[in-house]
Amino acid sequence: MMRKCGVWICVVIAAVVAIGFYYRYDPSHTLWTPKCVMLGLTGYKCPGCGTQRMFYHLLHGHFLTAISYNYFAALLTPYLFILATTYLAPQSGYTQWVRRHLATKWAAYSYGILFILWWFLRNLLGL
Amino acid sequence: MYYYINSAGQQAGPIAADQLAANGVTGETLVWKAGMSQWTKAAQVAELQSFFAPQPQQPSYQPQNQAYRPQNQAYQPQNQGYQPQNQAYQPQTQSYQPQNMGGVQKKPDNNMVLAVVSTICCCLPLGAYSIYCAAQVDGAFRGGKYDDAVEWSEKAKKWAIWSIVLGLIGNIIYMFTYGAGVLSQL
Repeated sequence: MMRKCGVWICVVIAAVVAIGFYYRYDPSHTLWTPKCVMLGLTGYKCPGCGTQRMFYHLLHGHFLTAISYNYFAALLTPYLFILATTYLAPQSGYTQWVRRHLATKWAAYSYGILFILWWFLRNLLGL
Repeated sequence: MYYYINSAGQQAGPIAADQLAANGVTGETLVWKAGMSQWTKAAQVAELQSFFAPQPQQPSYQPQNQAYRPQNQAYQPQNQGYQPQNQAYQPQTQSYQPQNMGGVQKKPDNNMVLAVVSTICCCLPLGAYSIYCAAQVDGAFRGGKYDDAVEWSEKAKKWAIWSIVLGLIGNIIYMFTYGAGVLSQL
């Protein structure tokens, strides 16, 4: 239980720092956010490109602008959020149910396929 | 972190090794943790020797131990009050839960969150392998290969973390190398 408390404190601190940071700094105009190595070296976007800008605009309430930076990440965010909270919440029938249905091999395979599809599509269609 | 079979005959845990005794585990209780091939009596687990091995050479230690027992027993009813909740959930899953040494096994976590984060943030092949490992957990578990499932689960976690760490290091090197040049490409 002590361990869970520690994890909780770390997660809350990390979340507050991250939200503060991405609220204050637009990743398009600062050097202090990670830049995509693949985009820089090859000119092709990786599937994660735009995620930071998405969060920046999400935090400023520009919902449509936000998801336009990375539709894939916009889809993933609620999924990851729901799944991640089941690790922080006390164990119950609900957390078991969520994990049994969301963290399955089908989720993993679908994710892999969507990841590759999105990778090609965004570079071909300029998304 | 150990799992153990409680007085009601059900799997409980995971809890840290030094918490076992406080939860009613004795040298005779079956315990298990990731990496162990089967449920084993606590007294026979090398790592738990200091907690559960009989210590006839230290009689002065014994009374202390016995004074501690009643506390343990006071804790049990609490535990049993909690069981019905659990049991409402069991029947659904028992159709595919393999039995291992009498204890009901829980499916190991497939660490999807870490695996997904590692692929989206770091774009490394290691992250893809982590996703692959995560996908193997279900199959191994339903096939009754609990140890394999645990192994895939740990692999998924390990490679996701490596992917994130290498991704961060790569990114830092890249930023220092290209600096402002990167900014203009945004």
